[in-house]
Amino acid sequence: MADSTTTTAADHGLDQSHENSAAAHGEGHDAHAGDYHGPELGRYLVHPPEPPHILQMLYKFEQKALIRDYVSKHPGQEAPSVLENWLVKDEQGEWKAVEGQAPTFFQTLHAGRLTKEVPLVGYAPWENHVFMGLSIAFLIGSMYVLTGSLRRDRLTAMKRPTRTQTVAELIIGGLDDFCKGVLGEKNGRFYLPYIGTMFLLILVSNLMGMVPLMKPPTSSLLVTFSLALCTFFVVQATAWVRLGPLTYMHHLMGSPKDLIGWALSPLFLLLELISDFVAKPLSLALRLFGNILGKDILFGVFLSLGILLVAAVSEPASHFVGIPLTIPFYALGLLLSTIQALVFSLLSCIYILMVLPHDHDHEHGDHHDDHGHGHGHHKAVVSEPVPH
Amino acid sequence: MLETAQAALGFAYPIGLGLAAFGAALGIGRAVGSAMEAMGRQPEAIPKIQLAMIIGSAFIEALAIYALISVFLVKPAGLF
Repeated sequence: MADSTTTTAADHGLDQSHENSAAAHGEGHDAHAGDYHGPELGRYLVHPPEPPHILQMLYKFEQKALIRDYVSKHPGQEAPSVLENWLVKDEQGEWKAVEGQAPTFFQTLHAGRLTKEVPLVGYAPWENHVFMGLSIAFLIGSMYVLTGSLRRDRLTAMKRPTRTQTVAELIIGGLDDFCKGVLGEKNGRFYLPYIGTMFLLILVSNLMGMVPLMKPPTSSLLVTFSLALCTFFVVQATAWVRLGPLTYMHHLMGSPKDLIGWALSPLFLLLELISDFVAKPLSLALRLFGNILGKDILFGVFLSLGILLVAAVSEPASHFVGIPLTIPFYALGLLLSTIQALVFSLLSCIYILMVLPHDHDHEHGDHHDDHGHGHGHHKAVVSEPVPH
Repeated sequence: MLETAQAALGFAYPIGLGLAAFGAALGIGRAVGSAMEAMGRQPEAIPKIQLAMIIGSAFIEALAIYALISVFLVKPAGLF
């Protein structure tokens, strides 16, 4: 990788060369690397190389493809202002990316939108399609196997359950209990297909990050936002169908009962609208995306650290062998993947529960005046009557 | 100018991320600690307490994740 120009490295010294490296135009490829005649470790301390990080390599590849597309589609045009510190014209009038300067997320999105000539869809890397397809295929395949066992065993009734049947019952029963625990007996069964699908899909997608050379599709904001949008539509459909438009409006205004409640209702309406239509889907999407991408980057950093350590002590420097420093993080990754899938489906459940008509309010009378704007349903989760 | 700005970002982001993580850690620590106490007091209510605890932790954790995502999106120098 290009480190920095000769002048910047000389001017600012070693301690700043790291900050400069990203911003500088790299014409001097490792200008000092040839001058050093010490042990390998010293050379790497003076000029830390960028290890061949697989994510980074893919990223560069995408970047080059984007520029090629952009230039072929827009000959002789100026770069849009969003891209101006990433795409520049050199002396020959050729477009090129500023060396070492990775485009920001928005720049990538913008360039993708420009080159693909589709509004709003934006830029989706191919891995998402492939690995999302893979996880869906895996789920369909395993469900085919598992439910196949169920059907066979129902036909030959009263037999001892096979191993596959036990597994299937464990999964479906667990999800069923989970939904019923939050949503109640009847609603839990009704929403089980949606919640269970979300849980399994997100779990399988997250766990793909554990397999070497695979990318979890949920580490893309587009994928997680689509999943969150599904929950948003399910919640809205539930609200419109189960509550009805008028009750839903009343609910959005914070279920006002007296004069003060009605006086404050515009405020609550605004609050609920922002919360329901913006904050909830966005936080669902960002939570999953951030966690999984964070896990990915953690793995990437420790992978490249392992490669860097080997490269620092080997002579000649090896870029393909590394110490597997990521192994301790596999446990963390497994835990994180499961918890995030659980949290996503749990929050979907809670959001659905919030817009369900709550029947046991009539039994309990109106002792829920104190929690003003419809968030009393939170309590319903915790304060369900415990059978003694 | 750009370099200074990026260097400033390079310092500011880890600090900001640390602050966000600190706040989230305090929040989650408090939530989980209280949940543990409650579980110890009422072992029969463990599933419900656990559920509420996970929901609360997810909400708290989201705040730290927002800080992390802002780092991903803006990408200070030398991070990736």
